Amino acid sequence: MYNLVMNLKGSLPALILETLSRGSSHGYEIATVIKRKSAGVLDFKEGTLYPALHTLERDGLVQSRTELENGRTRRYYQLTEKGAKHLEKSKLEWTRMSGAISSVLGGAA
Amino acid sequence: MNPNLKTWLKTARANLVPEAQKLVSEQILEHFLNAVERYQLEGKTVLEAEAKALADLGDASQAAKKFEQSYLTFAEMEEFAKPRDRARQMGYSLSFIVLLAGGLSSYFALQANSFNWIISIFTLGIGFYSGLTVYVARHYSLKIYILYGWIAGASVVPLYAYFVFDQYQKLPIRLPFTNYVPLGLVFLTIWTIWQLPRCISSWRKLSMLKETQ
Repeated sequence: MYNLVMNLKGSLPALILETLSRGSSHGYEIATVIKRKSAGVLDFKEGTLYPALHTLERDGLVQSRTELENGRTRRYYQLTEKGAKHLEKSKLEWTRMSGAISSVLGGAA
Repeated sequence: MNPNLKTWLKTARANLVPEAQKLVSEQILEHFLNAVERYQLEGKTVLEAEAKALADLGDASQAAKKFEQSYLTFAEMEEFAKPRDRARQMGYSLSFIVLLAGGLSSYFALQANSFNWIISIFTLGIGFYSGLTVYVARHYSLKIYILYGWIAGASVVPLYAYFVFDQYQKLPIRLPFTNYVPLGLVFLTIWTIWQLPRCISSWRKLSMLKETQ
């Protein structure tokens, strides 16, 4: 299972799941949404994105289907129930961790 | 396909097994075409859009490293297949030994007019050989490593103990025979621990490939 401690690399599965929680999407769209929402800070390359998507699929957190659009095959990914539960868990952990880090970095006594 | 994309793909997927190469090509091509489509909608020409989409893919060598971390490579496949082939060969060798032993036993049993133990040997031998061969032929996974390790351990440890024990009788100071069995088990455990992470990694990659096909 994924490490819930959210370093940048480890956060990609949660970011993908969050993007898919708004509806099914294909790889390029997922990458574009993450990049746009993070104002260009999170720019995951294909070498990272697709293996992460396939790992999520293998673990049953997302499922994929292929569709033919304008003569081109597109693979759409969709969040599963297991994936939704995992996302909730990841979000809670992220809130807890980021709060803790902010407390320390914020210099509170 | 865009020739530059072809070159990029060639580098990025060079060390992957054919199934993984196909998967990577499909997803990168789809990604590339989506990017080109988007840049064209933004007003760029086809050539400009393709150049920009290609630049977005980044360095092919870096991508190759990432892909190799997640997908099965030729080297891993070869390593993965070796124990299976060896186990299969071992199965054939064992079958030969069992058949030879069966033949010899039949001969001596016929000489001694005793047939009871022929049946035992044949039942045991055929059962063991059939089970092993079917198992080895049908499975292609982590289990093969465990099976192979178990067979190797089970075969090597008694042989080792037997030969060393035989020599040991000539030494002035002797340790009990039973000391060699734990020694063999320690060796087998170290071997398994050493092999296991690589086996698990290859097995996970293989299962991911199967899932996504």
